[in-house]
Amino acid sequence: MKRARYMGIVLLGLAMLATACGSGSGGTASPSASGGASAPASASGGDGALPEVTLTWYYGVAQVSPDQQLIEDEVNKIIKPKINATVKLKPIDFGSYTTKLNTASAAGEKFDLVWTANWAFNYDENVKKGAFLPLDELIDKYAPETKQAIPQFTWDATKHQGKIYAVPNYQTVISRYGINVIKEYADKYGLDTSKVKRYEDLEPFFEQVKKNEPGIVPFMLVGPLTKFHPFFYGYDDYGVKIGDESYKTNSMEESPEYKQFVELMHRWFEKGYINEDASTVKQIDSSYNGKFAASIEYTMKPGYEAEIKAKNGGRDIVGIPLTDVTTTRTSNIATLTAISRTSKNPERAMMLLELVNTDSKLFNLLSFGLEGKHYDKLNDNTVKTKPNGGYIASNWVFGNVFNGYLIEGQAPDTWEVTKKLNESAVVQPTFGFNFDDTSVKAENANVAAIRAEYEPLLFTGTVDPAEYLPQYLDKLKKAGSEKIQAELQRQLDAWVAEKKKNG
Amino acid sequence: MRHSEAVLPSAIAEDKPKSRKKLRGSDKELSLLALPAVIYIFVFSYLTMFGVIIAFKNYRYDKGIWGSEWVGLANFKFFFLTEKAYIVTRNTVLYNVWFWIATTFCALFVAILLNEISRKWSKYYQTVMFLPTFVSWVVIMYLAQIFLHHDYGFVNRLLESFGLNRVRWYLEPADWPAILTIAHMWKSIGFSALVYYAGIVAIDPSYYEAARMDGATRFQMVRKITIPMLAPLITILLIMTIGSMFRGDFGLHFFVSGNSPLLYNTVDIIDTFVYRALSVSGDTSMAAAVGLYQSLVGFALVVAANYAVRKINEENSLW
Repeated sequence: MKRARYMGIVLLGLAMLATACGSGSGGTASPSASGGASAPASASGGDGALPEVTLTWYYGVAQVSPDQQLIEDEVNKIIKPKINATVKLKPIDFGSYTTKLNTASAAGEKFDLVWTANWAFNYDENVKKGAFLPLDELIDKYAPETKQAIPQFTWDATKHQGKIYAVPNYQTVISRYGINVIKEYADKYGLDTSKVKRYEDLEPFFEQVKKNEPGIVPFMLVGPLTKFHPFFYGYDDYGVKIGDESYKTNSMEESPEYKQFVELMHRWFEKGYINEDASTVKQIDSSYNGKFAASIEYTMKPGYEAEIKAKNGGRDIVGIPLTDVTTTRTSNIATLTAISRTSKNPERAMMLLELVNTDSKLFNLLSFGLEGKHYDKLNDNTVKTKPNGGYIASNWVFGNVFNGYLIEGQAPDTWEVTKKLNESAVVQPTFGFNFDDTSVKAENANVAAIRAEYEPLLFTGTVDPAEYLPQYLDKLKKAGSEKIQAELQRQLDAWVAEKKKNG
Repeated sequence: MRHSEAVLPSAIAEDKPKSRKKLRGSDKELSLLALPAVIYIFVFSYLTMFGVIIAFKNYRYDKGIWGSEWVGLANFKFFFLTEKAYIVTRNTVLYNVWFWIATTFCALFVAILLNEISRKWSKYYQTVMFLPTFVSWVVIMYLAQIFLHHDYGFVNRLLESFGLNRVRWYLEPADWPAILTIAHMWKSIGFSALVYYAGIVAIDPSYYEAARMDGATRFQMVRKITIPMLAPLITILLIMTIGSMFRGDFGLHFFVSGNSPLLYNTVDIIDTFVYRALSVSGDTSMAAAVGLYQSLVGFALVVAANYAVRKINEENSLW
C-alpha cells in the first residue's frame, strides 16, 4: 500500500515534468513563427538564391481522387523551376475539413497554405484564435498581380483590424436570393415568373400545386438553411436601414417585416404548402429529389440554373430573383487561402499563391487535372470533365477562377458577365465593418444557441408566431441580445467616424 | 464431505483467506495485464488534465496554452448566463438517474434469465442482445426515422391502419423521454446484462447447491443468493455512473432526436446545448470551462456517494 503511494507521487512528478517540457516547446513556437514572417522582408527580392523548400497545402474537396499523386507531381514540375519549391497537396473532404483542420491547428501542426471560408474552417474565428499570419506585406511584395485582379472591396472584406489574413479565391462575390420554381409546374399552372416580386405573389401557384399534384410539396424548406433576408426588406447585414446616414442598427427580430415573414410562413405551413419536416431536414438530399415544386435559392449567379438541374430531378428550373444583386462581407469570404502561423516559409507560400492565381496552366491542372485523361477540351476555353477519369476538384478552392476553363454548359461569356456583376453589385453601407465580439462572447454564445433553437421553427412556419415569437424575443433579451446590440452600435459608430475622417 | 462445506457461514470463513492468498501469488501477471489500461489512463486522463487551465484563459493558437491571456472565470459565465443552464442540467441528471435505474433492473433481470436457461441458448441470446452496443448513434438515428418519419414511418403507418391519426413525432416533446429510453435500453442492455451475467457465473455454485438441498425455490435463490452476491458489483457500477452524472450521451440526445428544435425542452442535455452554443464560434476555452464544471461536480458526487456507501456497508465501497 505504501509503495503504491510512493509510485503515485513519482508518477505525478513525471506528469508535471512532461507537461512542463510540453509548455517549453509550445512557448518557443510563436516567436519562431513570427521570426519566420519577418525574415523575408530583409531578404527582399533575392529570387536567384532561393533555397529549396517543401510547402504543405490543405484544401477541401468533395472526395479525394485516386490520381492525386499524379497531379501533385505535375504541379511540382511547373513550380519547381519557378520558385524552387515543391508542394505537398493535402486534400480533405469538405465534410470533415473543419474538424480535421481545427485539430491540426490546435495541435500546432506545421503546414503552409490552408483553405478557409465563412462556411468551413471558419475564417473569422481562426483569425481571432491566431491561426493565420497577417499577409499585407507579403501580398505587396510577392503577389502584386493577384492583388490587382481582385476588387478592393473584396480585399476589405478579408480585413481584421485593418490587416488581411487570407487571399480570396476570386469568383462570384454577389449575393442575390430568390425562388427556384420547376419550369414544368410554372408552365402548367400559368405562373408568370416575371410578375413575382414578393413571397405573397406565389400563393395562388402553391394553392394550385397543393390541389392538383398529390405527393408534391409546393414549397420545400430546409430548417437550418432557411433565413430571414434583411436586404430584401431594405436592411443590411448589421440591421442598418439602407440609406440611413446615422447608421443605427436595428434588431431584425423585433422588426415588423420579420413578424410578417414568420406569420406568412406559418400560414403556408398550416395550409400544407411547406413540407411537414422542414424544421428538422438538414439538406435537400436525394430522397426529396423531384418531389417539390419550389425552393429557396441563395446565390443566383449567372448560369446557375444549369448547375442545379440535377438536384431537381433533372427538370429545368426557373429562378425568380427577389432582391437586387448585392455584395456582402460574407459573400466575399466564401473561399480564401490563408497562410498558417506554423508556416516556416510564408514568403514562398505567397509566391506559390501568386503563381496559382496568375498561371492559368497551373490553375487548370489543379482544378481539372490532365487533358485527355481527366477532361476533354470542347473548345479553347471550355472543358468537359470525365466523371470517372480519376481526378475531380473544385476550381474555386485554389484561386482566381476567371483564369481557368469553363465547364460544359456554361455560356462562353460567363466569366465576363460574372465579373461585371461583381463590380456593379450594390455595396452595402456597412461593408468592410467587422464586428469584434470579444467583449460579449458569453452573450453571443447564448444568443447563438437560442437562434439555433427558434429560427428553424419560426422560418419554416412549423410553430405559431403568436405564441413563439414573443417567447423568442424574451429569451433573446435574457441571453443578452441588447448588450450585443449596444456593443455593435458602439463599434459601428467608431467605424463610421473613422471612415468619415479618412474621407 | 461436501455437505459440511455447504453450510453457508463456514463456506465464507474458509473461502475468503484462500482467495486473497491466491491473488497475491499472481500479483505480477495481473499487474502486467492491467498495464496497458493504466498507461492509457495515465496518458489520456492524467497528462491531459493540466489542459484544464485553458478554461481560465482566452486560448489562442499563436500564443499557446501558457502564453494565452488569463481571464479568470469569464469563460464560465456563458453557461450560467440564462436559465438554460438549469434546464439542461436538470435534464442531464434526470436522464442519467432514470437510465441507471431502468438499465440496472432490466439488465439484472435479463442476466438472471440467461443464467436459468441452457448454456447453448444463453450464448445465442447474449450475442443478439450485445450486437446493438456496436451500432453507432448515427445509424440508430436512421433506424429511428424508419419508425417515426411522419409520412413513411412504420409507426405512423401502423396507427393509420388502425384508423388512428398520424403523430408528428419529431414535434412532440412529451413523447421523447420514452423514445430515448427505448433507444438507450436497446443499445446498452446487452452490455450491462453481460457484466451481471459474468458476476452471476462467478458466484460459488455451492451456495445454490446448498439452497437446493434445503428446498429453496428458484425465486428464493435469486432473492437470497444472486442479488445479495451481486450487491458489490451493482454498487461499484452505481458509483461510477454517479461520476458521470453531469455528462450525457451526446449521440443519443443529438442524433436520435434528429436535433429537432421543438424537442429541446425534454431532450436537451448539457452536452448538446454546449455544442449548439459553441459550434458557431468553436471557442475552446468556453467548452473547456463547461467540461471542467461537469467533471468537478461528478468528482464531488463520486466522493459523496462512496462516503455514503461506506457508512452503510464498508465492503461495498470503492475505496
